[in-house]
Amino acid sequence: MTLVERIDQAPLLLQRWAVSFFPALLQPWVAMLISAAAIIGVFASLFALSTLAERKGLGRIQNRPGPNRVGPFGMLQPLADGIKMLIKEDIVPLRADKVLHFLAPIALIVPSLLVYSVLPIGRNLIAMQCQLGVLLFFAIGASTELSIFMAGWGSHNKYSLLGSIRAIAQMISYELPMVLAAVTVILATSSLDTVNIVEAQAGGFWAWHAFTPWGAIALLTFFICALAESNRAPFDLPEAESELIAGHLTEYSGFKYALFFMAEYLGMMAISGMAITLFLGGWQAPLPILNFIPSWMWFFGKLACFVVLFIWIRGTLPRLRADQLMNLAWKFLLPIALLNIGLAGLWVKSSGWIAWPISVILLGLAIVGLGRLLRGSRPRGGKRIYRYAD
Amino acid sequence: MSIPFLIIAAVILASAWAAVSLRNLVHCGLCAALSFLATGTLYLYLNAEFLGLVQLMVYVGAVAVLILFTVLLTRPATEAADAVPTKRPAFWKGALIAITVGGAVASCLAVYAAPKASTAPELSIQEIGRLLTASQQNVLALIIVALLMTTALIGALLLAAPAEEDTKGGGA
Repeated sequence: MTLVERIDQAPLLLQRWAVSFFPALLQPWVAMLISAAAIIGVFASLFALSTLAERKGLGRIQNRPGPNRVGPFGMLQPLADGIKMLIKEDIVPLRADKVLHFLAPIALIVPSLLVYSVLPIGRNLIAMQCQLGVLLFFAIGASTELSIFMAGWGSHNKYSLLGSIRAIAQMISYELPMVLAAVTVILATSSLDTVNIVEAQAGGFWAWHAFTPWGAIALLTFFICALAESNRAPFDLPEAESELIAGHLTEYSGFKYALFFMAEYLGMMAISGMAITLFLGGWQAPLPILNFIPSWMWFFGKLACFVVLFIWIRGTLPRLRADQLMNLAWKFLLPIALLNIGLAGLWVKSSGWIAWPISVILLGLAIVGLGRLLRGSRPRGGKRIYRYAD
Repeated sequence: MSIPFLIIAAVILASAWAAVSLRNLVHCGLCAALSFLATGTLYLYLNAEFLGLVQLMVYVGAVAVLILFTVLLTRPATEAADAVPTKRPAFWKGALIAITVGGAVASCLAVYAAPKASTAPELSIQEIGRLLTASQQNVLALIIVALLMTTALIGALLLAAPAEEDTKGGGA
């Protein structure tokens, strides 16, 4: 093993070294435990870093410095926040459903962490290689809706309930185009295994799925749905602090609130990781010359780009209206995703170049046509009637 | 029988029992979701990965949410606590259904010859896909299901689309 390979496989070698201290009977369990601990440790600290990046970035976008008191350049702010969250009083509303109110954050954080088990973080670096990795990712992700419902209903607060119903409606609507966008990749690689999908994109950035006509559109669809699934701006209606206080988070305080916050960021990073795996080559380097940089650094580098993009979008785009949200999912993204699956099939069958002009023309027509339809569907004519605001 | 199997079975039975006996309908719905989840886990434990994950996706992700929404939208949340009637006017109907279903299951089990113990086949997802699309019979079923789904989807869109009068009235 050369030094480059050794650095590339460092996490795996470390794990093997640690496991070798245990008796043979315990070794598989210890290996699993170490993988889980590594995932929790790494992504929880990434969560802390991205909250800092978010507050700093949003601050700069809004022409203010952002947190700058704790530590040099405010770098220790996440640490201070964590301690504050831990020692804050935990308030449970008097008439809340105590059991559900307590269980909701736990039921949310467990699936958020579980989905990381099928993300290949680097070459051979995956917690659980599974034939059905992509399906597992979406199946586990689907169960987070129930925990949000538990939070909203258990709080016994109408804002919480409204927020959670909005969140569930939004997540169900956007899950459909998201899964359909992922189906194109499954069709092209004929595999549901995340490791196989990454290996199918080896060779350089031109082999990545994002650089095919269907892949580009699927990545865009997937990314828009990722924004909606993680309840981030411009799809943050469930939390809409100006209308709903904070949606299902309203009655949570202290560390339970921190868990919800953490689940949001973990979900955001997990979906970004999935987008990277499916469309942007996973841990593959963009050029073969750059292979000396460890594979996990490529993954985390791409992940960092995604997180910055999420923050940037939050700082720039205004929040959607509820009807715009639904129209976008059902009347625009869904037909596009369906058409895209057909084009991916064409690409697979026709081996490349013929598919380019056909795809570009069809997708262009569909996007322009559906976009016009979407613009035409807004309420027209007359002045707006405010039923409840007079 | 192994210990994980016993634990999973106990969770399935307990949550299914709770789903029909609890007083609060939302709790019942959530217990049903837990029961679905445990059933999916059982499939996973039995190495039927595809079935298990589809169970999670469809039942926990969609059916459970549907149940909870139905409960929420059909009765105010405040009366949920004592909404279940204490009298049992539907006892005999329930008993009739239970006897019918139980009888059907029992009569099927009576004629069912248990297969001799053999190793479970290792069925990869590619093989499942091939089985679904290769034989003519399965393809027809698949296409019919797909058509049905598309029809349902278009129907839902038509139902959700506002009537002409509404849009003219200024976005009601």
